[in-house]
Amino acid sequence: MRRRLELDYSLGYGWLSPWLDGLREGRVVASCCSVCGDVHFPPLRACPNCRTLADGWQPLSGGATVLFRTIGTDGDFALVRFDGASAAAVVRAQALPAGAKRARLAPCPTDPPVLFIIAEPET
Amino acid sequence: MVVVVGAALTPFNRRKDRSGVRDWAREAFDAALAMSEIAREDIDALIVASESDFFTLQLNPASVLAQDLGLCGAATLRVEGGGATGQLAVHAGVERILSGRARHVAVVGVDPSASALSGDSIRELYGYSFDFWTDGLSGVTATALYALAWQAFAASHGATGQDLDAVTTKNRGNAMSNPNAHLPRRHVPEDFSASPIIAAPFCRLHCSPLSDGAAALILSATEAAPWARRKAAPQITGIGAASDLPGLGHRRDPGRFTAKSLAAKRALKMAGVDASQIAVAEVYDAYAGAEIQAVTALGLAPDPVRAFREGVFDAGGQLPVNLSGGLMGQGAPVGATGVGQTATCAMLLEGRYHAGLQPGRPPGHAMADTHGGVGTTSAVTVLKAADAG
Repeated sequence: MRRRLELDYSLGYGWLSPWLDGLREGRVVASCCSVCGDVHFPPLRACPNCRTLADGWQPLSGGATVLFRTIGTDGDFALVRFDGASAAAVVRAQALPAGAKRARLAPCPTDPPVLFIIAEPET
Repeated sequence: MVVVVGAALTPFNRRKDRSGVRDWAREAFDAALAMSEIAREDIDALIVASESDFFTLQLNPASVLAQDLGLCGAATLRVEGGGATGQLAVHAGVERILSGRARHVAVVGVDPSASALSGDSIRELYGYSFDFWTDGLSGVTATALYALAWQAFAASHGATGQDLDAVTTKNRGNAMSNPNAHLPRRHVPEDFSASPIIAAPFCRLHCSPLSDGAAALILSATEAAPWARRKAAPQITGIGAASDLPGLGHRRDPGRFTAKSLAAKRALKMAGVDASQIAVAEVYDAYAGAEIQAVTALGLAPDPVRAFREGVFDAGGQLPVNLSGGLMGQGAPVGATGVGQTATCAMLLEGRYHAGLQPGRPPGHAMADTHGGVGTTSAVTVLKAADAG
């Protein structure tokens, strides 16, 4: 039997709206815990430290340090820590030079946005 | 406790014979039921492990399989937990017996991971195993996530690419003696240098295959087991499950399978044994690196990387790991994987596993370990041989 499914989903952003809207504009918007001060990007609704429900959003600079990176036929992905965040994030890397240790979030106006980093502009 | 009175696996491979999931489920169930010597009408509940409706185009598969297996009237339940689906179904069966709500339970795991969809479609679906709204927005694949987790582990444990090659070689070598295995191979070092890089440092040979297949268990309450005919039937003495943060980057140590450690601790505590008493283990090796990370998290050796290099986990070692070939060699039809791991452990404890893999002296205690996500949803089962102390 051969059957083809075409599905057209429509899912609400919900509480993640500030984060997803930020990604589309290239802004790093992190969740923050008012009790222990942890800052999470990607956001977490409940703080893994103290289990308090995150109750605020905090803009970060957008710069990130590359911790680990994997490249292959599946693509170019990295584990990075955004400046000011308490933990790391998995991102797609785009045209990031080999061995680069710094990067920054790139805007992605699609819906949903793609979470990816590019080289940090030279100063 | 709970007695494993029946255990069976179909071959894990890519089916090209026009058979389907309902045939494989029936084949595995019939074989397990025959071993159990329990009457079909005495099965109180059917627990079905199937990862995704997108694989089978069948919602509520337990109702359909109940009819196919001649179990209409039994309570039915479908379990899903990503890669851990099968082991979680085993746990659901055990819990149903321990709660007193069933005397005999059939657990059937089945998935057409190889033949139903293209590899690219399956990879996309597996991408939804992770948090779609965070890691998923990067388009990251399972292989890339595991590769990042492995890099974090390797950096802190001094592991290398040669360790990845050694795990693949061990597991696919074990699979040579498993007639049901998908990828029995005798690898040589040159194979790895010629294998394309999927997500560095993982090449294709470091990845488990997508497989079709089924596995089944018949579980009985101790007081209801057919002891006269199944004196050597092993028992499930401990089950443990735990969860971790789905986002790899959110974890304090992205290379460590923390939930697996918790799950193992809970299962061992329930079983009343410690990790040093485990004599054989079937461990979740979706990727070569994941086996080393799993063995570390399960606490099966104080210095796991060194133990791997010394052959402790080889077929002839002190604690054989993945004698079946594991996911790397035996294959991975997701829903069937965890059920098959527990079935394999049961057969090893009973001394009825494949010739060439069955240890000369049957082990006393075994462990089956499965996870979904990158060690996110973890489920561990501990079994004991009938004559073990």
